[in-house]
Amino acid sequence: MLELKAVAHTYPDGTCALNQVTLSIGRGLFGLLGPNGAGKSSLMRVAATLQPPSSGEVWFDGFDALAHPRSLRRRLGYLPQDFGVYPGVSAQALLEQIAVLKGITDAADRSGKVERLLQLVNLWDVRDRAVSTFSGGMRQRWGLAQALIGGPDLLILDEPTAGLDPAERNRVHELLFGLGAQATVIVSTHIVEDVADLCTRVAVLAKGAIQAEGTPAELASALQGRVWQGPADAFNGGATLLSRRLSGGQLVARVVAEACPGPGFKRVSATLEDAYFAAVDARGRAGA
Amino acid sequence: MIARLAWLELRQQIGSRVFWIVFAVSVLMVGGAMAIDELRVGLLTTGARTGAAAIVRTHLVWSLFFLFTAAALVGEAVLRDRTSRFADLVGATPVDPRAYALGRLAGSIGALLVCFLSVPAAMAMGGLLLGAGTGPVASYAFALFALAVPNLLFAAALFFALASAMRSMAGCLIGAACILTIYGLVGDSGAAAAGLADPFGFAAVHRATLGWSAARLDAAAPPLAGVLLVNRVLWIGMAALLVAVGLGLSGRGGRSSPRVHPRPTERVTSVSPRAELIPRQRSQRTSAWREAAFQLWWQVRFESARVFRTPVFAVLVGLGLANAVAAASRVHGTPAMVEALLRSFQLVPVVVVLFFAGELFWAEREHRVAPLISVTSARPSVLILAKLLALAMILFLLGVVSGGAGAVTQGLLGVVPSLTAYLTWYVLPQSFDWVLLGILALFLQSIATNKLAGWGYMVFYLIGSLALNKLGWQDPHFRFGSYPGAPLPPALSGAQGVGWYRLGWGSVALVMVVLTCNLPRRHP
Repeated sequence: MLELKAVAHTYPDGTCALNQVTLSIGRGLFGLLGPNGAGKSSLMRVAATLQPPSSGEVWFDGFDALAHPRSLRRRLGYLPQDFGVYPGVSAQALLEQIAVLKGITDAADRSGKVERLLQLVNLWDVRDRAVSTFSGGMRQRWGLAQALIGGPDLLILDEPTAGLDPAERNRVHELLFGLGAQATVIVSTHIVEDVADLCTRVAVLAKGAIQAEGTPAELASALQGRVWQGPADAFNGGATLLSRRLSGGQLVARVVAEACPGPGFKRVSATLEDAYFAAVDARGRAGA
Repeated sequence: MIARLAWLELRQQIGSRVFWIVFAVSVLMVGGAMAIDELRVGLLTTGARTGAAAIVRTHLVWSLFFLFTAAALVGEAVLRDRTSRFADLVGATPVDPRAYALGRLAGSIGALLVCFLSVPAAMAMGGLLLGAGTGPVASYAFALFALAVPNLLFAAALFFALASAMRSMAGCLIGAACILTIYGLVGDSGAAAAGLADPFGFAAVHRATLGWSAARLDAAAPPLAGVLLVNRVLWIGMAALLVAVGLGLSGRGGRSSPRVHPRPTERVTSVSPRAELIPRQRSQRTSAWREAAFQLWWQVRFESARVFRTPVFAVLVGLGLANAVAAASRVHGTPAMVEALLRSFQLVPVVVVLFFAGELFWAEREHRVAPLISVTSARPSVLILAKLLALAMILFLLGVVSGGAGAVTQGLLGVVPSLTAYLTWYVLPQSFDWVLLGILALFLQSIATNKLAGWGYMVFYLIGSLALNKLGWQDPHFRFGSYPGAPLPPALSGAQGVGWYRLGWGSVALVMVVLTCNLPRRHP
């Protein structure tokens, strides 16, 4: 169980990235949704003990992670949103280096784990090529492999499907789904579909604060019966706009309203995406 | 377009810390040399302080000192887009890559020349403050436009070509070290008397003023004619050629980093990944000390391999060996050989320490691997110690190779070398001295905000050491890493108690190691 208690963080330039975030995340897949600049990566970095928060506590399975970061790191797998690699070092060699730094000192044990992980992410055939020459998707898969070294109990994945094509994305989803049974997996993303398909619980983060938390079904059901979809140009502004998008070549709007907001609008089932926009928009209106 | 780009580049360079640090150091050093005879490195010790000869010599010497400044400014201009990954955005615009590169070069040359103005300004101010007057304006104009500017143009063009070819700051550094080493070798051989072959004009000026009286030397600069004129035109032409080479290489344009398209066989197979395939069994945990020791050994191997494989290291070793062999071939006997090695093989270890301390310390942040490394359970001190030990291994290897080159040279000259003497007089003590310098360099990097600042701190230290040597402040109690009779070993200098000094400075170095390992890090 990962517990974040009143975590706040302000960067030296005065940017308030996190504002009293409190979360309890048990075993399974937990989704962290939020727009760009919401503070998702900052929260991931705090949870991974990569940067201490300005205030607050981080506990994992009963021990203080901020006081004993190395104890957490022994059980942690982390995939950052953006990372680099040493030039000219092969996928296998770099994975072995991470394994050594994670404390896997036995050569046979290490090489066995590295081989299985590279096969798992379908990079075994290119194990001798430098990671710096990989495509974005290949590099992301290598990143996932390094996060899985050592069978971590806590996996923090920041935008794990970034740069992956649809087939690879589905593959990663299957992998993550299996992991959720064995570890606490936090997936941070702004792609609502990823979270809706994968996660048992979700939190929506905006402007550094938690706006909503629950299962995808709970969050969607809060809007059930009040979501309408219709032509965007028929929307007269009398309701709360959730989103505008193109659908079949037409610009459609989804709104929250107690009654039909305009001609051509039909009541539709609320989705997690609607709940996400509602939560983010509520924060925007509250802050305006 | 080119003018606009040049203006942008000039503004960017003038706004950088490197520019103002170099400007300040130049003012201090030139002004200091005006007031204190012992600080007149490479300058005339006779004649009027603001006479024509002093003005000419100062501009010549400082245009040589500005080699590393040219490497830094021009290298930065060429490589900034690539290292910041902005190159892909620029490459997608319709701008001609050659025009773009030329604009950047022009701007960096402008910054270099503006920075160099610190030299005549400091000299004139120093002369005024000392009551010696500023000196003849015509001499300043000659020294600046006929001597210093062509030298700086040549250096900038060389580093432009090197940086464009090698796509790394290492290329510029190699170029600077090459020039200084070759200059030293040619100077020792007497070939510098050939006025045309000297790109910086020292020999040409010497030939042009051969036989001049002291009064005549102080009164006016040599005329821009004869060998001197041909020399200037020749090397400005070489600069133009180098710019053309650099522009040709810049026309490759393109991406920030090479990527290889995945081959079809690397596409995702139809087999779905299963989480139960993930190796979850916890590895057998060894003791914390054994784990740390293994991680240290692994990292030392990794870090030192990264250095050994670089072309920079190979070139630096080659240059140093050439210099060492040349010096050793002029003497006989092991003691004389060792002394010749000690005095000649100095620049390369210093450059290795300076360059690779920065490269090693900042590698994780530069390559953006820090987020992956920082969340492992490895202690930060293990990672720092690994860098230090890797640097120490490299420096020891330099000692072995240079000592070996001296022994082989001695053998080829028909004198049997004493390997024990080479080991105890040269390899071991020099390696120790170089490691102390390496520890200092790593410590300075750990307190710097970035690699360039760390290099700057180390350059300050080196310049300060040189100045203190010239001032005669060489008391080994107060000079880091020094000892009685340095750089000669006690067997050659006859000095007593050297071991205690090594122990003392070694203890100071140990404190620096502890501080380096424990200073709070800025988060990646």
